[in-house]
Amino acid sequence: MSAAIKQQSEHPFMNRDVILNLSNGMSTTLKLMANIDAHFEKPFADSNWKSPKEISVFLVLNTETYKGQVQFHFDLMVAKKIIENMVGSAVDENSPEILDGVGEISNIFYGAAKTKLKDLGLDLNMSIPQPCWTKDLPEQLNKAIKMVIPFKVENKDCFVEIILY
Amino acid sequence: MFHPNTKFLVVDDFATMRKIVKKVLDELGYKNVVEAVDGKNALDILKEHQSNNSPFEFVISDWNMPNMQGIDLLKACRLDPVLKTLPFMLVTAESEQSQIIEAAKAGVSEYVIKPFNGATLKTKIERVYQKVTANSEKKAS
Repeated sequence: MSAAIKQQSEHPFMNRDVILNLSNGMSTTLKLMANIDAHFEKPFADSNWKSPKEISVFLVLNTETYKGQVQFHFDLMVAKKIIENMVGSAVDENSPEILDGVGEISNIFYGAAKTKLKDLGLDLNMSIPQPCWTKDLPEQLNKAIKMVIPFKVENKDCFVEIILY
Repeated sequence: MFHPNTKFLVVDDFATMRKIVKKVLDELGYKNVVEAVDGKNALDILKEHQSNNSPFEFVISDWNMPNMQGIDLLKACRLDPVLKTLPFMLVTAESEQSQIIEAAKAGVSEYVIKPFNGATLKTKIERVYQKVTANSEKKAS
């Protein structure tokens, strides 16, 4: 873990429960709604990291003191597979259905994580997740500190990215 | 269970979730399903079909939607003399106790927390059926 991340170890967005609940929320949602397994891997810190994936979902996390973002990055074929399993029919990877489906699934694990975090006493102000093509993600502020949590779905890499400002 | 021709209204601002619910209903044998994109749209559709003498018999609605939320749609139905007994299921990703209490107070028939699978939705629909049947028997006696 980098020195910058160590300095931020007290940051609520780096709280183990926040990270665990976000990843568990996603695993449970994918398993229940799409019968797909997600396997989370060891997180790493890299402030210059850029998502290599086509589809992203971002949500803003705020407290009175801290500002940050969580982004989920999906492989296009993984997103297609998830949505096809959920709706039970074929989906065109270039259609708006892809973003709609990723937005809905993100809404579900966001809701699950939000409730669990509130139960743990972490009442974070979280925006509704916004799905978009990764190339259309809003610009990030300079000097952001990032933690990336890779996970595999159908043997393809996807990522959770936690950004601290 | 409800008869196979039961008319369902599925309300969600995300097309994917409407498709998921429709898919589950289809698997359960319910083919008479209409979709609405938010609470306001749903209320218009409910009233329109009511006035055309082809009323809905079951609503499955998301909670968080633009224009009119699911809880407000439920409250509007319960205030309407015709729609007040309409079986109404709320579906939401947030399971805070305060929300569940608000929904119960507003007269929700069942409450489904996302993520869910087909078996969960089926069980909840069966529970609504049991409540509807029990209420009918109570009224009859």
